[in-house]
Amino acid sequence: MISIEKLIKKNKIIYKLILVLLFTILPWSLNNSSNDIDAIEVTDDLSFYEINTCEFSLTEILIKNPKITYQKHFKIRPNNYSSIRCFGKITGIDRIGNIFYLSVGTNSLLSLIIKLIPLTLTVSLIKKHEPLYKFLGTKYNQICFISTLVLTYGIYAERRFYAKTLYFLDLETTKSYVIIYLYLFFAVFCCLELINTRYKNLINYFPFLFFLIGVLHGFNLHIYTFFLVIFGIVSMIEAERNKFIYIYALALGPLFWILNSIKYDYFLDLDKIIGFSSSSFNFQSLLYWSIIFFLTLNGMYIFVKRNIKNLDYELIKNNLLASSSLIVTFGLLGANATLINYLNFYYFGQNKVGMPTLNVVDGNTWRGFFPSAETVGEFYGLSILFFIMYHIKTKSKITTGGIFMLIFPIFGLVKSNNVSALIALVLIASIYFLYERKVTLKKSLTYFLILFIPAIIYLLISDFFYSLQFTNYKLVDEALLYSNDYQLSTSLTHIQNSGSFLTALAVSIISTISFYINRSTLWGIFFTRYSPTNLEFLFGSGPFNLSKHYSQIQVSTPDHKSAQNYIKNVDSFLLPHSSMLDVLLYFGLFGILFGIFFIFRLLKNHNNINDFIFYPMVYLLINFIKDDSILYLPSFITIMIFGLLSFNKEDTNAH
Amino acid sequence: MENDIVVKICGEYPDNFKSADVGNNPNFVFENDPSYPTVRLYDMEENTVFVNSFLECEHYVAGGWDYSPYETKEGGYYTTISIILIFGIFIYSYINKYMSRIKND
Repeated sequence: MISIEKLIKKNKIIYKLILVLLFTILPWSLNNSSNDIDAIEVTDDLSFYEINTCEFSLTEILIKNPKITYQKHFKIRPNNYSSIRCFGKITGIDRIGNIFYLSVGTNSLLSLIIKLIPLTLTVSLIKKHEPLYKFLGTKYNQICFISTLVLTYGIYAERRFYAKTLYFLDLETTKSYVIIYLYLFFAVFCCLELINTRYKNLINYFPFLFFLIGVLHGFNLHIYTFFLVIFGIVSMIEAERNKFIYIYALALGPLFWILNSIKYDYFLDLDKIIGFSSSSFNFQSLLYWSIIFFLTLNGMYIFVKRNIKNLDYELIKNNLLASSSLIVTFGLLGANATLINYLNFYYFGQNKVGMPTLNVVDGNTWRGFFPSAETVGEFYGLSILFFIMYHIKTKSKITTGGIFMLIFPIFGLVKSNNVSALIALVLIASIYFLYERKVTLKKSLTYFLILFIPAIIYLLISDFFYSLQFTNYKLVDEALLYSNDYQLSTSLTHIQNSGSFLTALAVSIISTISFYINRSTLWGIFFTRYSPTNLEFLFGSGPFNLSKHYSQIQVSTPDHKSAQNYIKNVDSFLLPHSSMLDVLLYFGLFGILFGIFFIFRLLKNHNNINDFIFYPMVYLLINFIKDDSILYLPSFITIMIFGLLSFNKEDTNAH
Repeated sequence: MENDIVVKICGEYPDNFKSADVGNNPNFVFENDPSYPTVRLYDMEENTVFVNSFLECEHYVAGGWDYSPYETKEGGYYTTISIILIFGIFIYSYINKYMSRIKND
């Protein structure tokens, strides 16, 4: 008996890899079609494939048309609306211009399982420890049942979204929810099995969130939402409480947000922020996302608090490099091969299909694998910063492998064209170097002056600085440019009419900053849309919800007479490009004040915070102002981990 | 009286709707309604008929042409897979308990 156990243990990794491989090949190869017809070559005449839908598996088509796997004028797209019998089969081929779109059936509910299994098998490679809870014990079962209940409620709360993707189920009947509950129960069970024996080691693997993004297509969920809900329920079962979280995120905040939402009913097409943002703004969705917010906050707080002693900075550094390398590698592969681009999207759970080209577009950025070039650029910067800091701190030798791995994030950062991340990286790495080498403040300042004075002189000569009169009002100018005469947002009305010194000062500061970091237009459009009531301005309209913001006020495209340079598709889903503004929207002025308090506390307590936490946190905060990292789960969790580690009373220097 | 299945398959009843009295008129011909999107109906043997007006649709559905093979099969798939998943959990649990018993021994 013991020898069987040993044998299983020895071959476990091989079994898992074989299973992962099976799950990536089989779903696209099986075909139980009754017809005897064979796939034909895809040509301009698509009538054959229009008649014979759901007859051929993706593999059959690819064998007949191998060029589809690599030629750029073919695009393979998942069809979440298809039935189970069409899974993995071609549900249609369309031609738009010179591009052929192959639609592959990927039923949402079945996809949940097919994506979940390889992903959990991959996560299961993390080292195990003794289980937290007895398998199928009372607490174990409680976590399983309650977590599934919360997630099933999410489907009910966002019925309008799911009515499209789960249209075969009648979401007005209880029977449909029983079926959904069973699917979600399976998913929660798999995740709990992982968490139960890996809870203490997971913290060091957060960098892989950027690689295994984990959006469950057809659902407004990430695979990690299951993890977060389980963490939250674990924290509640263990009755470990943080008074602030309980008072704010469980009682006062939700009470206001939910009561406030009763009078509204807005809907939003989530596009690239799918998985971590509410699709509706109404009572049910606010209730659900408030629960998710509380469980995430409390769950992560306890998770981080319990695992400070398990932090392994060397492992984090290696994982950051490994994840960055994999993102770049798969991004490049996806950019060059249609099939890999599709498989990347499906299995890694991307919010948006990876870029099919290496050319930089859209503001001269290459986002590659990730939905946002800015956020992934910031992640590459973080990987490089951690690498530099680690080797400065430990004085350890940099291996050839380390240098090789470093090439990937450097390449990614350059291609993402995230200048602010690059500047923040250089600045913080330099400060850390001087601090670690114990260079005196006087000397450090001299170095910086030597470096910056020529730069400032150059900027002055080249007329880089504009008059304050111009920059102070630039934001409002832009906001008015895109606003409708008949529907002015309350924020814009207040800015124009209040005459208050405080408002004028705040707007001037924000406007000038936005001008120099090239955010005037996007932040201006934010204020065109931002139309809170007084109470919403103070407490926000609720976490993870942009539906009201994008639906309440209609923006207008200016004509060429009113502006020389303007955004033509302004009514499309343009994000604010500032997590600070997202915080204002979610949590109101209270959230902003808490953020300021957090920064002060971070600076005040920096001696008690480990360098590997403090400096990356400062780096993340600098980028926080000008990117939407809070809208993507991987970056949100990263900020949360660093934030909670630096906010924790326990001295992280001890570990 | 409004029939839920009719509403589900054919859409909402028009105002002042009166069912077709086909029984008394064997030569009754259903007129096409250009504003009505064609609906495909099935009987138990999966024979199909296309209807082009609400009146026609209501008549056929009331006569038992309310069977949707795709929906029924799809529902069957969902139920079967969910049973397989739960069965999988049972098997996993059994193996897990068995293995831990061996370990303890």
